[in-house]
Parts: sequence; C-alpha cells; structure tokens
Amino acid sequence: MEYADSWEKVIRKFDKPGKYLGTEYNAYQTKPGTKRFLLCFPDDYIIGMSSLGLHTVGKIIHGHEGFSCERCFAPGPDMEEWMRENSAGLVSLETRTAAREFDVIGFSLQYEMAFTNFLNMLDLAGLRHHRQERGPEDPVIMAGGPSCINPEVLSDFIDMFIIGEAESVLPEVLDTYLSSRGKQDFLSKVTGLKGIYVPGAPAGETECSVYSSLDNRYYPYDHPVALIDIPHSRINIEINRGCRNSCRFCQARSIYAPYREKPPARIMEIARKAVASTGYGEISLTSLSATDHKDLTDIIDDLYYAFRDLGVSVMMSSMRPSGYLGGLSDRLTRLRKSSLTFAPETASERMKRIINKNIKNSDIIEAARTAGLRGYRKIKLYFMVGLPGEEEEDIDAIVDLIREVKKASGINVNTTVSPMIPQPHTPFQWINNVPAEELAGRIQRIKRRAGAKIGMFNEKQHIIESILVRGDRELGKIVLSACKNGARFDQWTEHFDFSAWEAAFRDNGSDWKDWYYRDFGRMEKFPWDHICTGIPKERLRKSYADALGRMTGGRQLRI
Amino acid sequence: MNDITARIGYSKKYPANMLGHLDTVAALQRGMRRAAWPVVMTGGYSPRVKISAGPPLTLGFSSEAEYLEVALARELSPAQEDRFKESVIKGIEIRTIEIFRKKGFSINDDIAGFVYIVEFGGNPPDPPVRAAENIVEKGNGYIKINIYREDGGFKNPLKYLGIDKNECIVRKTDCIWNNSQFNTERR
Ligand code: SF4
Repeated sequence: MEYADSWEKVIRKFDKPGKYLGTEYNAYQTKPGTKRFLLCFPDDYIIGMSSLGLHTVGKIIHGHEGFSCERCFAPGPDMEEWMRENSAGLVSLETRTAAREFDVIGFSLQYEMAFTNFLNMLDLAGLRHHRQERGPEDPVIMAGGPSCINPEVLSDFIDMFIIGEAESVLPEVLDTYLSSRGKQDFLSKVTGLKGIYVPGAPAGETECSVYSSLDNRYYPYDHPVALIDIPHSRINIEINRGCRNSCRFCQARSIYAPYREKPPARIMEIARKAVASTGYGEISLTSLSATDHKDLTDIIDDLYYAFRDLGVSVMMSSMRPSGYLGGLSDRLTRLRKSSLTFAPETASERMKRIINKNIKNSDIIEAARTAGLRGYRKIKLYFMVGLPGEEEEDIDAIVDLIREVKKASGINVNTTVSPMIPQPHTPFQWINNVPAEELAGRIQRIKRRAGAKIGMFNEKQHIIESILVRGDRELGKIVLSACKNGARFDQWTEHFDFSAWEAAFRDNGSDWKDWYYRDFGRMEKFPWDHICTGIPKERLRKSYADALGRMTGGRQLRI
Repeated sequence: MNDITARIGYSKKYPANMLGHLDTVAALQRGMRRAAWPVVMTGGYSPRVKISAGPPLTLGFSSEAEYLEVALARELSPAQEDRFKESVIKGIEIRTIEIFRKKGFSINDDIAGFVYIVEFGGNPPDPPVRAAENIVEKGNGYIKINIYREDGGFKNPLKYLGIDKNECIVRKTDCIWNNSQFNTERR
C-alpha cells in the first residue's frame, strides 16, 4: 500500500485537505533563478483565496522580472497540531519550501483580528517575532493591506509596511530589493518612498500610496482558482475605487481616496480574460460604491450580452439606492436574482445627518418593492448601532425600516446589525467606545421588535477588535502574549478565546478595560497620526465637530 | 427532440482525490467554461448549468471510472474538446467525451454498480459474511469488490468491509453499466 505522494498521507486526515494542495489551476509556477517572495495571508485559505487584494499583490510579484511568488495561508488548528507535534515548519503552498528560505515574506493584513495568526505564522516559520532579534540573513518581513493604516500595533515585528495601494509602490520596492546588498541596505533605500513605512528608520510622516491610473496592468484575471468552495467562488471586478460619499464612520474612503472609475471597455477586458482563465460562472461588481459608477447600466448590459450564452451571471456586491430607480431597476432582471444587498446603516433622519449618510428610506423601500416584483428571493440589510448620540428613536427607526422593507418586498429579509467601531483616520476616531453590553442590548431590541433574523453579536470579540484598531506599539506586546496564550483565528467565533486575551492583558500588567475605555476624545496625538491619508486630520476634526453639533435634544437611550 | 448530451469519463487521482464531490464537479464546470462550451442553463431565479454527475466518490478515494453528463446547446468543436481536456485541474484526466442524443437527464439511471480495489498495509482483514458475495478477488494485500445499487444508492465499500479509511487506500477501477445506455442514440 503506497500513497501517490507522502503529502497525501499527511493531509488526508485534515479538515478540507484541498486547502493544502497548492495545485490550483493558475497556481504560481516558480521561475528559475529568481528571488522568492512568500505571500502570506494570516487566516484560512477560504478567506484568503476570496480576496481580490491578495490576488492583485500576487500578480504584481509573480509578474515582476526577477521575482517568483508563492502563497501561504494560516494552517487550520488540526494542521497546526500536526506541525507542532512533528516539528514541521511553515511551508509555501506551491512547492512546500520552508518559509524561512524565502527572500521576502509579505503579509496581507486585511483586518486586525488576524494579528495573532500573523504572529503565530512567524513562530511556525521558525522566525523570531521581534524584527530587532532577526538576523540579516532572515527574510525581509513586510506587510500591506487596509490594517496597515494604523501600523503601530505590529511595528515591533514588521520590517517594512506598504501604506495604501500596493500597485503604485510594490514594483519599485521589488526593484529596490533586486538592486540592494542585503536587508539593511534594502530597508534604508526604501525608507522615504511614498507609501513605505520602515519602523526601524528615524521617525517621519508616511503618505498613503495611490494608484491613480486604475488601469488593468496588475489586474489578476488569471489568479489561482481555489480548489474548494470559498465565500467568493467568482470573479470579482472592482469597477471603481474610493467613494464620493463621506460617511463619518467610514475608514475605507480615507484609505482609498480619491474616487476613480474604470471605463466600461476596461471592465469588459477583465471580464473576458477572467472568464476564459478562471472559468467561474459568476461575475461580481465589487467596489465600495459600485452604484455610483456613471456608466453602471452600460456595464451591466455589456456583461449580460457578452456572457449569457456561456452561463455566466452578473451580480452586485452592494447597492446604494439613491437615484437607483432611474436606470437600474430595469437592469435588475439582468443580474443574478439570488439577493440584493443594501447598507442603509441607520434609519432616522437625525442620525443620518450625524453620520452623514444620505440614503432616503423611501428609496430603499421602493428598491425593495422592485426587487420583490422582479423575482428576487432575498434582501440583505446592514445596519449599525453604537453611533454617537444614538437614542431610542434611532433604534426604533431601524425597526420600522426593516418592517417596511419586508412589507414592500414580500420576500425574505436578512438583517445584519453590527456595532460601529471607531476607526483611525475617520471623523469618529475621537469617539470613546460604548460598553459592549449596551450595544448588545440595542441589537437585542431591534431583534425583538423587528422579529428579524439577526446574526449573533459576540461582545468579547467586539471588545478585542475595538482595542486593536486604535492600538499602539504598547498593545503589540499584549497581542504577542495573546498569541503565546493560544489566541488564533480571532475572527472566527468558534475559535475565539477571550481568556487567552484576558490573560495577555494581565501578563502585561494591565486590563482590557483600561484599553477599551481609553479617553480618545482627549488624546492630542494618535499613534497613527504619522500616516497621512488623502484626508487631513484637520478636515476630520471639522467633520467631527459638525457631527457633534447635530446631536441635540431627544431622550437618552435606555433599553 | 432529444437533448445533446456530453458524457464525460474521467479519472480522479492525487491531488484531485483530496477534493470532495461538489468541488470536483465545480472544477469540471470551470473547465467547460474556460473551453467556452455551449452549456444549457436550468431556469429559475438562480440558473445553473444543466449537469448530472455520477454518484459521489468518497474524499480520499481515487478512481479510473468517474462520469458526468452535461446538456449542450450545440455540438462541440474538436478545439472545444481539446481545450477542455487541457483546462482541468491536476489529478483529473479526461478519458472520454461521448456525445449522445438522449431522453431524460440522469446519468445515475445508467449506472448499475462499481468495481473497487481496496489495498491494505498487510493482509486483508476477514470481511463480514454479507460482503462475501460481492468480493470478486482477494489477493496479497488487496480485495476487489463490486458494489451494486442498494436502496437507490451505492454503499461505500469500506462500510461493506467494515474497515477504517485510514487503514487502506481505495481505488474505483470500473463502472458497471445498465443496459439502458444502449437505448440512447449514439452518434
Ligand atoms: S460607508 Fe460606503 S458610502 Fe459611506 S463613505 Fe464609506 S464607502 Fe462610501
């Protein structure tokens, strides 16, 4: 009895062994004689492989002369157990080369709840956590992605951050690596490039990098195609980047400023190549605000006619129904009719002014009615609680809106209510956190009154995430302790272990409450102030002051 | 008028045998789309490719006799067939593409059973008595067993033999067809 491959014998006992094969269609093929870049995603394969950002970075690296890219995802708990028992180190997916053999290891940090996985992967790779303890022969550890907008928490562990959009600066970083003599030389050469933050270099400001042309040069239409079912088993096409609106809780619009659109011809080019290369049967138009694209109806028409005979459907990730009933309602029948998603976030007029979100309830209700008539099966609604100045009326207005959407559409309505987390680089960065049990009470109230299906809210996860997003270098020590205490996959409710975190705070002589209830309003200087997005702090402050001015009158919220 | 149907025969070995049934079918479908096959969609709010896959192969088993059928709007060009063969994932090899005109649409009605070879580390354990009549061969380190339809489905051979999947390697080597396949009009 002999296995086809010794790896088969190892992985066949794990949950979803397809995650560990690396034999995907379009998997990266190592080019001989090149520098090797290990692109790591500190979460499960199914999440990482759904990320357009990860595929884009992979395309930039692997397409770069002189570099080959391989991938690596956080091993699942069963795999990690096997690795630790057998002293097997972290390896690449494609060729199963030890991670520490690579020249560069880059992490895609897309959310803070993956920070412990990042540290765990360094450990599994046999590398020291602290950058100062790693030697000149160890790989360069770099990171990019939305979470790097506040790089301080992990800055003791990472040699170099890419802040902002990788397309505009990563090629230059790779070239610099090729022309450098060793790690130190490389790090000193990249210091000062727009979008590059080197924590070991003298303090200075870092400006976000912006890929203004938004052309198709690095579009990963031929990305590796996941072997197993993943949340996004489809082609994601970013049709525009940034957002013209300025909701005050929103960090994405700061990271991806200014607003840019792709012309329809460019979108069609991606779609054609991506269908032929990935073979996916679904195209999703994914952007922060896809409905803002001025040529959206043309784009939908072009895609519909080009692909209907191949059995490829088109869908939109989320819709913003302002002026939506103009052209788009006719197009609804051309989209995949599984569900329509709206994110009104709030429902009362007063709260809309506070958070600066101007979607009309009547537009949403009208859109819901149309969706019902056009044969859609489900509507998804997203709301937020814990907004500044929130009162009972605001919560009840959400309840009313859910009810009206249900009534008008006559179809299934799935509602998600999440607590707002004040984020760096937004006007709400000065807001203090609200006690988690109070947030839970507000969500519960909506659930009770609207009779809606609303997902579970985990108070403890919310606490940790809120602390992480506005953390500083000091917090990095606590994250490391949490990782050592066994915290992993913190984004996954089933794996999240609050006791590992509680102990981590204790180990460092503090308490989570000291962090969660920090007074941000009085903070003069934030840890992330040295990162400059397209929106200066003064403008954020003015916007916050304007929000404060709108919080007048009304009863205090009591649940 | 009978539908144009392509019956695809393929083998599934490592690494593809580490994928479940649905993932395998999805991978083949992507291959068809890469090759621009003129597939037929089902109706309804979320149309799907009209496809009929044979009984699921247990994850970890390999097979030389997997089949699925797909409805087509037009016949395939040789280029479309070739492109498909090149477009599948590692571990899957397309062995045959037969074009039928066929009434009805379920490949399962045409399949009577399968032949499996179960390999062991040492000598095969004594199988339960009820498995005896299905065993066609017992050799050094392996058992060859036929599995026929029972209660509308096909049992996992290991359930038949009472063996744990971690103690053996299982290969499906052949498919036993019903006569009904001769009712289809072969091109
Ligand atoms: S929440 Fe959405 S609509 Fe508002 S600014 Fe952010 S991306 Fe734009």
